[in-house]
Amino acid sequence: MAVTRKNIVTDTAVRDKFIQGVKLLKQETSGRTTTDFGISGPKQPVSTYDLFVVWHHRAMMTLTPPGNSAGRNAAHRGPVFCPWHRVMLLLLEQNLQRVLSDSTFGLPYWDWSADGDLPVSQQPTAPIWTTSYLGGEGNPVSTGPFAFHTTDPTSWRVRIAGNVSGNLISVNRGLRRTFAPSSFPSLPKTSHVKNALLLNPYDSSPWDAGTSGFRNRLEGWASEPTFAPPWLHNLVHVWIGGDMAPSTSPNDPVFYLNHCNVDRVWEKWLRTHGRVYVPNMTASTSLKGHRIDDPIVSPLGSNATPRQVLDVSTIYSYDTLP
Amino acid sequence: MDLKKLAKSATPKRLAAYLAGLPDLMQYGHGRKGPSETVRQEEHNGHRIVIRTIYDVQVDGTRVQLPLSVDNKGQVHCHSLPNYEFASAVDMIKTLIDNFPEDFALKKKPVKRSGAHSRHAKLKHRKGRK
Repeated sequence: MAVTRKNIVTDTAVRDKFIQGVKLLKQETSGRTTTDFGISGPKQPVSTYDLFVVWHHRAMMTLTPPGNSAGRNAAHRGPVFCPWHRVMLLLLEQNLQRVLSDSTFGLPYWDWSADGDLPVSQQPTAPIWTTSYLGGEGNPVSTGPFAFHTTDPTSWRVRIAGNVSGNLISVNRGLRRTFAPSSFPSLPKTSHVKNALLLNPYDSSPWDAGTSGFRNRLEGWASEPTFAPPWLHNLVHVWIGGDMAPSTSPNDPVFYLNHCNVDRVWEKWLRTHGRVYVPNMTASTSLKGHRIDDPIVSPLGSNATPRQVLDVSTIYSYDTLP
Repeated sequence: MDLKKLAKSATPKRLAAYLAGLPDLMQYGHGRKGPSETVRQEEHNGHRIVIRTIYDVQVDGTRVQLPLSVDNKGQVHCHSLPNYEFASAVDMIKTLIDNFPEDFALKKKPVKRSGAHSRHAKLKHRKGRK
């Protein structure tokens, strides 16, 4: 039976389960250590939660094709952005259902555009950042369920981080958030999402961060004419800052709430414009990894392609679409 | 998508094995030592354009290895900070410094002591070692 994905701000039951679930995954050892993944620094066990951090980073650093100057990689800056993250969320959702022993659990979303409609001064204190939800900003975050406590090893800790050179390193510290940098004081607004949903086609040549289609607007390399990027998805990462900025951004559980909302926006686009995807398989092999029947870089191999995730209505749906 | 195959691939054991078996990142253009190099290629009116750009970045006298690229619009992107791109490489480095404080931690300059005090400290140290 398909599960329903709900708004974390308005459904406290799903909020509590999400927090409980990610904490359980953070405490669950995967049976591997940091050395198994070539991560430098002190050797330490890798939790199931942190496997997703490693996965996101590795996809980010896998250029498609190798060495391309557009920076297109196996999960970003190209058409596969939406399908790759849909698969990532599906795998996390499966794990949350397992540790919660609840096959009806659906990953919640955070409708950041609702907060973006608030005055700029109110956005950093919106309900999502209060102690009952995700806690606030800080270095380390010191409020809410992901607060860092020096003497409590079970408090939320970042164990794998990226460095400036793009390598993973083994660390042991609290989560970091620095809201609303002066250059980007506001989250995206509802009108920005609605305008993105008008765009058709999904993507276009040269299939990178310079195109004018829906995917590039949603990912956030292209903005509305009177504004400058980052936009939508990218802007949310930049606005939260701290651990949401590097390639290891899944270290902050809000990563999943952001991407669940991104996936919700894509689902609305698919319903509006048809369950279509480009490029097809006649596109150049230099786009391998981004074409409709190419395997998505995931443990599912050929069982997960963009075509196979265009209709996921048998697995989940959203309570409301934007 | 097949839900059974999804559930099977989602197990921590399967995901961990998949990640541990991924090839080295070197072949994807990352992880090389030395200055960062990016190559733009384009066709125009039957002509083949190749622009090779090398970034040899130093901060506080130390070379910084960066996984970066420049696209055909001239925007600079660093995969270490994946949600940004910049018209200026200088602005990019400034943002990297702000986002990776540990990688750019300022080394404390040695405190310059006065001659007499320095000699006294040295003697005291030697005495202590005996």
